Amino acid sequence: MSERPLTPAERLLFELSRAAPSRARVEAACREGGPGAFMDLQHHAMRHGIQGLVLHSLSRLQRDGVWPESREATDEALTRLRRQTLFWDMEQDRVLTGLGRAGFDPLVLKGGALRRGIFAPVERAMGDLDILVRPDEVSGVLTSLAGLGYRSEYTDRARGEFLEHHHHDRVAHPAGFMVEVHWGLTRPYEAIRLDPERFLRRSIVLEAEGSPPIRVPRMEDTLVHTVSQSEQDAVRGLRRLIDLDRLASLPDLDWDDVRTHADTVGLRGSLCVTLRLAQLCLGTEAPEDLARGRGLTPASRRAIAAMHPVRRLLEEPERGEAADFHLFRLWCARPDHRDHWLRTCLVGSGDPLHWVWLGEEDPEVEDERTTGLGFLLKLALYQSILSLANLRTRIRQSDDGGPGFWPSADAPDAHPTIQDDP
Amino acid sequence: MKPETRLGPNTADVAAKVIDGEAIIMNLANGLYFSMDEVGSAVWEMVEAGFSLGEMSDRLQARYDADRETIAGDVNRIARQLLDEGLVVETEADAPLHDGPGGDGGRGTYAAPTLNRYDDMADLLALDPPMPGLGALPE
Repeated sequence: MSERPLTPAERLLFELSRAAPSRARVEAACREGGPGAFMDLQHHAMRHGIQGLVLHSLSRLQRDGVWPESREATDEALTRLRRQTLFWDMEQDRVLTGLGRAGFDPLVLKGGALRRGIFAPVERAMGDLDILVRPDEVSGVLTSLAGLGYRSEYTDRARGEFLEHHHHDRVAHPAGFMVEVHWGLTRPYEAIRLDPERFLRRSIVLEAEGSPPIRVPRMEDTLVHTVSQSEQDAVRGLRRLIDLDRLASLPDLDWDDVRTHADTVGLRGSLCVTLRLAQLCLGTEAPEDLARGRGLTPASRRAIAAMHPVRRLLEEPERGEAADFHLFRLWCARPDHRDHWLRTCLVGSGDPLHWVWLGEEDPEVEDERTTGLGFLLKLALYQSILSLANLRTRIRQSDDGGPGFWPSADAPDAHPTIQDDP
Repeated sequence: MKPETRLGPNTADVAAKVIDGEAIIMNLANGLYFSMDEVGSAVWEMVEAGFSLGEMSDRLQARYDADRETIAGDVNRIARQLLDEGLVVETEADAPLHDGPGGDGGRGTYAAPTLNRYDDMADLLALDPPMPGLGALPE
């Protein structure tokens, strides 16, 4: 990846994603970017699924006179997003009430939980309602959802495979809503396993005016779940980093609980990387040992930095994305998990649901592009290219989340901001 | 419709919320949604509370500076529209379920309630889509 300074829209994206954006930095980026930056900002925000959050932040500043020329467009977009939020709130209430009447008390995960406990609703978009139930409740819950108008978009054959090889089923309402019914939190064939029983056992109840109470995971568990989701995306989504930022800032968060949980399931590396990335992009207050990547080997730290984690967040997917995706996850993984992945890759048994995602009818269609010796050689080649490309920047600090990604031992300031760098 | 007619939300297909004086009502049976402004949202809250059309008119007359005949005509018209759109059903109840919305004590300026109809719910739900899909790895 080539080095280049952040564009005004990218600086706005990061700044407006912060819990407390700096008016001065927003104004400076707006001045530099001009009217065109608003369209670019919207494009970035939509790609990361954070349009509501970014525009909500911008709208608050615009009330104080910042970037007045884009105020009308901001208000117009926010009006539509608020309406969408309201639809989801109503539907979440309807679904949970319906399930409650049928005797189910599911745990609400991800967006549905975070928008009640952490964010203002418009700040946290929901693409679907994720609920966690015990495996023996799945069938009954799906039947109840059918009574509320939900239907599966998959064949019976695919759904049968979900039960064996996946951790949730998804049903859709003709009006456009979707519900994912989880019985697990991670894919069964992957090395990282989150224990759904732990999440259910430690759950808490959140109240809200005008809506029924909802059961959500304890915030420490939500944080680890967010990291695992980010790991599955190979840390390409700003939305999950924002979730992490807000969770990390909770005053009563038990970091020892988070560390222990992450270590147990093999997520220490991803926890460190995501927190450091959140710290760089959003100014997240994270424990120093985690933000400095303690627990990762020096080779992993160097390799991760060489992949320019900040740039990876901002760049559009390009050729070689599968190699980048797997390589990043490999370097974040615990050594025994890395071995597990390499073995799985070598014997050619990648994602057993590959044929479903491809829209095929035949389960015998194997994932040939990301398994086998050929793919491993491709990864090795990609790593070599990255290493060579980064040789010239090894001896200097980079401002783009490259080799200077981790704070150096003689740099006590663990909270740099990209926006401050030239 | 008779003044003693009582309506209730069609809960099988409809979900609604009143936010900042605006009622948003979605009909999941056909993917349409509706909004009603201040007076309309008061009507909706009284529908949810189980008021008869006559009781709604009495309440509105106490809250707004309009004559009883105008208000009753508007209530009748909006009730018919709500029925036609499948948002409410006639109920057999003979008394309100609860007291319904309270007024602020003063008499506001009356504006005839209107039911605004929208058909872009699916488009709005597709805004700001989630990040990666169900489980697909990148190409």
